Amino acid sequence: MLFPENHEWIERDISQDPEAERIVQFQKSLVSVNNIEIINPEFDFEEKDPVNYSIKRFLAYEYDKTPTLFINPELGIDTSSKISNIEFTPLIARGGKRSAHGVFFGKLSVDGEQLNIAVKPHTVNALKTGPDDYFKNLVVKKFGHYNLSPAGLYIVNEEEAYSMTILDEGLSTLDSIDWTEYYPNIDNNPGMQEMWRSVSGQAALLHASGNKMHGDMAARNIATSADGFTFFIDWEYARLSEQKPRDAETRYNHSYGDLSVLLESMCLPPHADIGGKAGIGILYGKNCDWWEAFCEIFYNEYLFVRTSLAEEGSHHIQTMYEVEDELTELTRSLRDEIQMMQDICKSIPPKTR
Amino acid sequence: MSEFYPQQHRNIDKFEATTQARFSLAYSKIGSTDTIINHVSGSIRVVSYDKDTRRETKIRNKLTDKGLIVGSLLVDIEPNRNHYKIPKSARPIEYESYVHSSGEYSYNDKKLFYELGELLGDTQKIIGEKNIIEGDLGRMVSFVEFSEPGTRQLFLVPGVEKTVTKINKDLTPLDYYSDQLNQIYDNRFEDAAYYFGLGFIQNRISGDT
Repeated sequence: MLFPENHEWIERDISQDPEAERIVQFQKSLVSVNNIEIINPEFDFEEKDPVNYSIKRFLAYEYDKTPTLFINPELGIDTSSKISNIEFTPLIARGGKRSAHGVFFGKLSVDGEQLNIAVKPHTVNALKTGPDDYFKNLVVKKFGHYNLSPAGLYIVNEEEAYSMTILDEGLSTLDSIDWTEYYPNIDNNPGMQEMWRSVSGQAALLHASGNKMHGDMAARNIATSADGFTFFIDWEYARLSEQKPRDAETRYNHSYGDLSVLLESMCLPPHADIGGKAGIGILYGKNCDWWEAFCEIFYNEYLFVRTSLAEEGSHHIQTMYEVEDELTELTRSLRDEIQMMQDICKSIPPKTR
Repeated sequence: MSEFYPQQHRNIDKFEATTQARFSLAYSKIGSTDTIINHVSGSIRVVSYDKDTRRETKIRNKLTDKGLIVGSLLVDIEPNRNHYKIPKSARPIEYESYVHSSGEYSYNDKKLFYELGELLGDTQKIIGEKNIIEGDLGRMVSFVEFSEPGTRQLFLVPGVEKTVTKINKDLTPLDYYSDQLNQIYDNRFEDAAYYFGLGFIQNRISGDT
């Protein structure tokens, strides 16, 4: 029997509510948990792709093809005895609705121990994407970048897995904020100015080594906390390596890959649907120099931090030349990109009632 | 957008730090502050403002009894100030972007404005039809994220009792609040005004308090 008798399943038309459908599916799948194990993968940063290498080892030696809930040992949950009761109680949120994955939030109860978590479902090539997301979250922390705390990974089968992070309630993403009146009135909003300065700094730190990129640096993946941190989340598409970048072009591919996405996110309005993409509309509809605006809000600070970091390592003269070439090409490309975005945005009509 | 309070850099070594602008419930009109106190046992968020007059205390107590104010009053902290412990996720509704997704676990604009109507309708029952809470509604109402289904997610901010004032004779409270919300949200409120009005009069029809 799939559903234990003591569960009460509320009848509702979840076919009209995809999020509820995902949550119900997760709740059903939790009933099938066969094992709870600790997951503490090791990463060999000598490898070109340490995450991929680690996933292969995990699937070969730790995953036994039964529904298994892997828990981050840092949570301190006892996995030595047989777990008799796992439940998930959803929570209501305004956030996370623009996530392509359909992230949802709730309380996971494991034999009375409770965790508030954010859950990301993986339904395509789940054995790859589920661990990929979880492992990358771990690697980001190992690299010293601020990130959400990975909670665990639930693998049901090849086509169903869930990666989980601890839910920090004092967290919000930049796409939850109405930015339409921010520019050019940025001096009226010192708090938001500071937030964007922080984004610039975090992006510059990430790109400084030339071998890392976030992979999806849109506003929906930039979190801000009540105690003043602004940082990137959702590293599923990240490229994270410790290997020295081959040349300026490699560096450029990483930085341009991220900043073009961020720029697009700043230009497109929330009601856009360009290949499924929307943005936060800081620049949409604005009759001003968009490049100047982008520089004022984000790019000037980014360049300043990048240059400062490169100068700190100035004994590597080759690196300095590479970074200089990279930033020159990056600036040129982003100027072209913003012109293109301005043209695209002209074709997007204002939101109608 | 109105003024954001300047934000201090996050510093976990600091015992006290100003809550970040996006979340801050500090409201200049009543002189309140929103601070995070870092302690070895964990951090807590506190909104503080000058002690109430007797009239204000009476209003605050009634609003609190109905569960309309976010957080809980901390007693015996300071003689001249009120201090409220606030949930970490509480934030002013002023900066909320448009959310249109529908569903049981989504809190979209329709729900937000309906509950806002309910909140203000309940408030009116306490402060009376000749009074309003005057000021920037975007800063006087707080949204608390990640709540369980069926629980309130919109609350008045601590210190709101200090904004209660007599309304202009030519206006009704519903008119006044609608006008305020129109100024803050413009087109968005045009879409949602129906739900706001519905929430505002809902409890009045049923007689619930």
